[in-house]
Amino acid sequence: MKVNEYKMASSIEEALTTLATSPTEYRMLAGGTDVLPRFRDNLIKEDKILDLTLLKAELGFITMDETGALHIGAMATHQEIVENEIIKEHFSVLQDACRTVGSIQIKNRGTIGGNIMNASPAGDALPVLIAADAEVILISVGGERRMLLEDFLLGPGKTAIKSDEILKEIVLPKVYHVSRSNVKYEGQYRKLGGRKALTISIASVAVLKDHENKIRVAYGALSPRIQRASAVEDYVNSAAELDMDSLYQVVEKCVNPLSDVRASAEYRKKVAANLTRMILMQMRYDFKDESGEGGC
Amino acid sequence: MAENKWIGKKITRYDGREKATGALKYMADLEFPDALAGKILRSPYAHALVKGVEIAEAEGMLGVVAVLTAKDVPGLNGFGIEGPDQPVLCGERVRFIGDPVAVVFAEDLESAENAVEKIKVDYEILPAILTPEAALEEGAIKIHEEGNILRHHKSSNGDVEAAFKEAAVVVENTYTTPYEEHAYIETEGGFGLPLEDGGVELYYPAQYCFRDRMQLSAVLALPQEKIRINSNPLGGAFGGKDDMLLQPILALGAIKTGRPVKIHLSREESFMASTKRLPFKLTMKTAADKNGKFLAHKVFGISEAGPFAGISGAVFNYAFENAFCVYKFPNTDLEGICVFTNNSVTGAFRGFGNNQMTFGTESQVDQIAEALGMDPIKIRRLNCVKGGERYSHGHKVNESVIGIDKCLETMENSDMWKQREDFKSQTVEPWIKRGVGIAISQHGGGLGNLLDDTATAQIEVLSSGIINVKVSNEEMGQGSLTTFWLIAAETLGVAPEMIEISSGQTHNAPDSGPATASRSTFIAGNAIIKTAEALKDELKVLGKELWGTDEININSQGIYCVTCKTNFISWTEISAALSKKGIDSVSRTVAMPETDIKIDLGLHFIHTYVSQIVDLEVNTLTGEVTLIQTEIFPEAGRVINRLGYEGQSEGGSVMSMGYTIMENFKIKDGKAMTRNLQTYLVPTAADIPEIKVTPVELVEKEGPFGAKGLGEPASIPITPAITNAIYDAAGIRIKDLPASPERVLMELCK
Ligand SMILES: Cc1cc2nc3c(=O)[nH]c(=O)nc-3n(C[C@H](O)[C@H](O)[C@H](O)COP(=O)(O)OP(=O)(O)OC[C@H]3O[C@@H](n4cnc5c(N)ncnc54)[C@H](O)[C@@H]3O)c2cc1C
Repeated sequence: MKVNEYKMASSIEEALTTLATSPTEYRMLAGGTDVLPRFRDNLIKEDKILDLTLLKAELGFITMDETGALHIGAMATHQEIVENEIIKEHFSVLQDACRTVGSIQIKNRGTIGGNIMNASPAGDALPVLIAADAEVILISVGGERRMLLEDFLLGPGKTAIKSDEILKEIVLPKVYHVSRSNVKYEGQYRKLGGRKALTISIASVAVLKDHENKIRVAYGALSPRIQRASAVEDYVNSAAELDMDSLYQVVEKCVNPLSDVRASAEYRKKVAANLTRMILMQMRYDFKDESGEGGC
Repeated sequence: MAENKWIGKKITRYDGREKATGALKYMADLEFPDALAGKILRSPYAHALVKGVEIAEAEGMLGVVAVLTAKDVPGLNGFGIEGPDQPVLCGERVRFIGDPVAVVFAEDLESAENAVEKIKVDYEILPAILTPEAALEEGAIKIHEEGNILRHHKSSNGDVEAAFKEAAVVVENTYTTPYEEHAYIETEGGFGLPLEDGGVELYYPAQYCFRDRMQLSAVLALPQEKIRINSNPLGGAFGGKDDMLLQPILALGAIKTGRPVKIHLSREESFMASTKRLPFKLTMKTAADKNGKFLAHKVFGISEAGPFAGISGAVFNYAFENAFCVYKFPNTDLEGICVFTNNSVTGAFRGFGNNQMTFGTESQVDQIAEALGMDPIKIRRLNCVKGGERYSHGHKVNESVIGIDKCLETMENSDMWKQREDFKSQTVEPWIKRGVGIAISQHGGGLGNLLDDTATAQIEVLSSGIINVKVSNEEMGQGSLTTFWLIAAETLGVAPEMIEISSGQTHNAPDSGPATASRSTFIAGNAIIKTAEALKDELKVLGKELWGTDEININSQGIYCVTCKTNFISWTEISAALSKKGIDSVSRTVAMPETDIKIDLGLHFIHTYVSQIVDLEVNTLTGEVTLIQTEIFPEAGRVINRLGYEGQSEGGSVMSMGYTIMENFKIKDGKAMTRNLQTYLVPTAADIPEIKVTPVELVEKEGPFGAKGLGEPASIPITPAITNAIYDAAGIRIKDLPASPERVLMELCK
């Protein structure tokens, strides 16, 4: 589709009014790292662009409130998250995830809001956020609403956003902060791609340990929708002793991967279980079949 | 070795500054006023008859200047290095997804793109041949009138079956290798310009301007003198810009519209239309006695050229020429078939078939060593052809064949080899397994003895005092300009800054053959030396005429009489002095040395030898392979420029590392599933291991300053070195490339 209208909003207010009064839909533009390639491939149906670049002043924040909850503005870039001291201290596993996004150039432009709104099952910031029960705040002229990110993401490219809304921020309630500052492994994000950098996930997994020492797990690129892998969580949190076969079985329940040009579904399933095991072993969980070598 | 002033040092590239600063303009960066934009309509079908092409609507669209189809080709509607079987624009039949049917030239690209959509082609779909096996089936549809077989080679020596019976160890395996896309940064693109005399000039990146001119002459029905080609510089080629691609369409566009025309392919179009490395399926059976002495090697191989001959037959031959690597096998049996299919077009790719074959043979050798409990370096040293010995094909090669043993010996004494057990023991995580692998290769330089292989150089001293050295071989990033520059400077005894190189221009350089086959340094280098010597002779004659003495010397200032001191002519005066004698330039031709016997594969006399060692890790939970370090030991004769030598060695290693563990060109029903660099992954800086380059310098007597070619050779042994190291690490034998995480994990699970 050719772009017939381009508008740059100078404030949230202006952007929201524009959305509320427009008879047809705008395509919003943040860092443009998803939107521009998709325009080029004719995958975007709207012919109007609403550029959010100037909203950076209002939505580029990363703060912690008095309750200890973290707030990340939708326009914060991956690189800003990677370099941020507050996140380093309280949620460093999100930095591990954002660090795996694309290249330096992509991290400098790409925003966390764009990563969420793109709603790709392979979006690298998503499993960690979902495992931590992150919430999103959406804003329109009518006000704000707040929901779990897990409920907001409906499937590839689909979210619960309404046509007059903008994604404003991401909130992480205090209880799930996971930092590496004291203990070596309190959470990990492991991404498997076709090469070491600038690669889309073939499979990824986030494993976090929460304030009650409970394991939380979410997979990326392994199902159309990223959700907490509750069967895996229950198994790990309740089993007296872990074994690979049982882990494999519960992981298989939680994932529903595609076969595509990047990898087969069969491989993705195996790797989902293996990555989980790898991280759990690094978090000092013992497995019955101790060697830790076998991947099948 | 003689002490040289320029040769063998680390010298910044001739074109380094303008490339590093971005000042250099590649062809698609050029600007010509009034240029039209071209867009090609390509076949969506792998195989179909073209019943009709309706262009009226497209012609009538805003901004459209011309819509060209097969009917507009004035001469022969075909091209191809081996024969003109590839249509410029398909008028009767399309043979792959991407075959061009029509082209629109318009005032701007958008208008051209819109008009292309309005062209209606009436296709009658034909059954497509999608595997090499299908091409050989009884009654299979013929892609070309002569049938579906491009090459069928059979040769044998001794009695392999008897050898297999008496052998202590016999190893038999089937190996497969995929297509590989060159993925040069510069996608194909350039300009066609009409000339006032009715001729045409091209600015288009390509590896052999003179062959393109010859082919274009037939397509355009124009004498060669009316076609001027500028093929320099290229933003990477690797064999992928060897045969023509857009040249005939650009030339046609310029002639038909009378205006400059431009086409620049998108990455998707480049992937679709350009050549790929030939995929191979190789079954090998190899035998040795209990001491590790090789007894027999039997190879059956099948490959596909895609829809056109191109240069695939030569690639296929070259693979089989290298079936024995450098080893002496008393009993041999080779059979290979290369067929046409309706898949991607294949052609030259750095290594020219040798990579595929050496992957197989060097995997076999490793398995024999293992079966016999022998050291992998010792078994190779035992079996390599010795100086003076005949090759397994029966021919004699140059005495520098002793280079391979030097490569192996140097590797055996390297720290990496000696410390391999240390390296392997240093792992922390239980799922990380470390391994060390080695392999060797040979690679012949030049076109092989089925083709005449000569090069001409020319030197002209300009009135500015600049010494203009002309050879046609293109600079595609490999550093040939620098090599030519240093060779000329060293031979003439002047500073390199005095020398300017002209290359890649039909009208401003003599024909020195293609920039392919690891030949440029060797043969164009020799041509430059011979021409420079001839120029020196002329200058000495000039000096003698002036000063009556043979004691003439040449340096950066000019020529002078050694004994009389004061008598001196500067370079700015030499041009006029030579002109007065009726000499405007000096030119000489040299030929590639040939083998004593010929067979239908085309044999090579001069080889470069390489050994390589790889340290890597295999993650047994994910299947990921991570290269930690590698050391490459090329015996490419003497080093001309250490920087260029290291660059080629590193680049070749990285490129083929990508081929081995990552690059996974997938094609389904004739359609590439990996349509651009989003899914066709090539290595990034993060994937590259520590690379050490250790030259094994022997003097090649036939070569320029003792040098041989290195462009392709450096890309070959790393593939089997990696798969041998994977075996060492994890006990799995990768026989199908690439060794992607998925393949490695699936092998581990077997
Ligand atoms: C070369 C390359 C490599 C990449 N590698 C990775 C990778 O490794 N991992 C990964 O996860 N992603 C990767 N991506 C995808 C992309 O960079 C990320 O998803 C990035 O976070 C998108 O952010 P953006 O700001 O660029 O989004 P944009 O492209 O600007 O927007 C993306 C979508 O979100 C919408 N949008 C943006 N902001 C808002 C908002 N505030 N409210 C409502 N809607 C909004 C847009 O309308 C659009 O639909 C890569 C992309 C490229 C080009």
